Amino acid sequence: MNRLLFGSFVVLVFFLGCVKENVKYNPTPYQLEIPSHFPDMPIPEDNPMTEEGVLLGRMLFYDKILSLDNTISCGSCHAPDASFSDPNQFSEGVNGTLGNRNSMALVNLGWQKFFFWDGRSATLEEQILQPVENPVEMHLQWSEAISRLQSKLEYRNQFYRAFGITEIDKEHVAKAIAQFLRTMISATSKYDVMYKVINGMQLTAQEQVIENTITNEEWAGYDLFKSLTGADCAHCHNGTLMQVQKYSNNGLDATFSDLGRGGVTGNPNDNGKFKVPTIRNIGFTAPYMHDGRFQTLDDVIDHYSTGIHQSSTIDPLIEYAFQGGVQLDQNQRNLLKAFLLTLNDTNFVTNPKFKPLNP
Amino acid sequence: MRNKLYSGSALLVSISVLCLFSCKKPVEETPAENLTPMTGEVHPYFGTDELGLDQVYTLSDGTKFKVTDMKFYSSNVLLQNKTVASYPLFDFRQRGTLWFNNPDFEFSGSTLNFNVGVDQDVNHDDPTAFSNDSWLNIMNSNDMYWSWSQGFIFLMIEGKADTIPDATDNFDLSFSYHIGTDTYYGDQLQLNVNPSNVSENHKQFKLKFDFKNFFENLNHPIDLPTEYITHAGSGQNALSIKVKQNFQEAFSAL
Repeated sequence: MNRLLFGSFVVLVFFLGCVKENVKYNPTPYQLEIPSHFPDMPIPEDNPMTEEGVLLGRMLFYDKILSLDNTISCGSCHAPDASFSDPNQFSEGVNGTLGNRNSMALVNLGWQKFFFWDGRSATLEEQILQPVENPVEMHLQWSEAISRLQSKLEYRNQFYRAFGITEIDKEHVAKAIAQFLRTMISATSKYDVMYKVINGMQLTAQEQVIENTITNEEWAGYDLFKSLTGADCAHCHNGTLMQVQKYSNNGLDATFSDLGRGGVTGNPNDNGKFKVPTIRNIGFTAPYMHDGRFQTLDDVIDHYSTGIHQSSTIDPLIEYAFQGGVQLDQNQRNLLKAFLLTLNDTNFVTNPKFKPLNP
Repeated sequence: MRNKLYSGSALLVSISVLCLFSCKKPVEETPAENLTPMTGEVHPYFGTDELGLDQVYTLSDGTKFKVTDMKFYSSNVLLQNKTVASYPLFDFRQRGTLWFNNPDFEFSGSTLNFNVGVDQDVNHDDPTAFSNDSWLNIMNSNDMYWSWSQGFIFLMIEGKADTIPDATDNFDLSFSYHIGTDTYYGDQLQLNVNPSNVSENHKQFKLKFDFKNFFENLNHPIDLPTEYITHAGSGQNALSIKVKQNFQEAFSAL
């Protein structure tokens, strides 16, 4: 009798273990928390955010399966500790290939109007499609990438949960990663408190505590940062995003080995212009500039102070280009640097929700 | 008994009437017959020539210049006393000559009024709080908002000038005129425009903005080689006033 019961139990367990997982398409809307001092985030109508989509995007972002030899993922060149940029001047693609531009930090991408240093992609979804096939990055044909994903049960299930599709395609890969990237909002730096204070916005109790830690040097550095006769940074870096969304030649070179925006438009008036990046988390995102030529913030300050090169397309807002820059003295440089470091958002770079699921 | 009969009949009639009215198809508002799309355009010129960005033009004193950006906000944009656009942002590089497009405007006349800038009632509002489709939303205003002074830049002209009198184009001097703050909010302008039909149900009018008038205004010309920058700050009052006035006076109807 006992044997019979035990046998029945084993059969039952075996049967239950073989029951196909019932995967449902019933996505849960993702509740994106927009900081009080930020504008609404424009979400594409054809890619609403869901819990399932964000999770899928996070899986894909850190999965090396999307590279030719399974050695790199998106996260390889966009490391969380570096505010999702690359501490190397040029990122290493598969087989050790190197590009010619520094990986941009991935911060507040949901508000960006164009992507890449040269702005060649108009949407986040469009941008995500490029690195997979790029020979100096992941160098994998999309057809192969899709084949690999389709062969994995966990991906088949998660694509169904997120989008209700059984045939995976690159567009839905891009949509999922875009959903994940849109969750990556940086808005809890010391600068955010300073921004709220000067704009008369209400501070939370926690922000009031932070306000009390802001030093006189940091405030003075901010004044210098904004001053048109001081460092004059705020023409291109201001507001909650700490950038204006435009292309600019910031006086790095007199002649251009990399045409930047001009390489996309073919218009010589765009030569040497690159996307103005956010300077949020600037303390984490060295090296600097489109080609990572400056290793430290001091190098950057030196450039704007005395290292400006005149050229035919230099931004008119580089007002003191005629004298090589804004000519800051050492004390001013120290103040400016103190302010720049208030842009570091430690909560952002340590947020476990942005890190790999299985580190 | 009779009273009951009357009461019953009255009730029945009332219910019938109520049913009749409640079942009646709701009256749809018929749009005004003369609602039509209305487009406003601003065409930058240099004298008689239409001006292109990054193209070289020469002032009467021989100074060569090229414009790299031209933007401006406007408030109280009225056509025959009816609001035709809400704080439109003109951005020559991004949107060409389009100033605004109103898909449903009741056209009734050709007198245009507007002020350059953003009026004081709105200028200091939180730029993140405007709706996404407003040109005042920080996502749309972009570099036309000064977060450090809590207000919009009313007008922006940027470019390069060649101040070295030789045979080569040097364009050694950058110029940038950024005017904002309530002090420099524009005066009310009035122009008689010439609306024309783009198509059967689409009207438009065009304004001319003449850079020659802007720089070489008869009453207060701007000496480009020496008056090349203002951000409406303290100490820049004289040039800021001149830029504001010349900007306003550079408009005419096309």
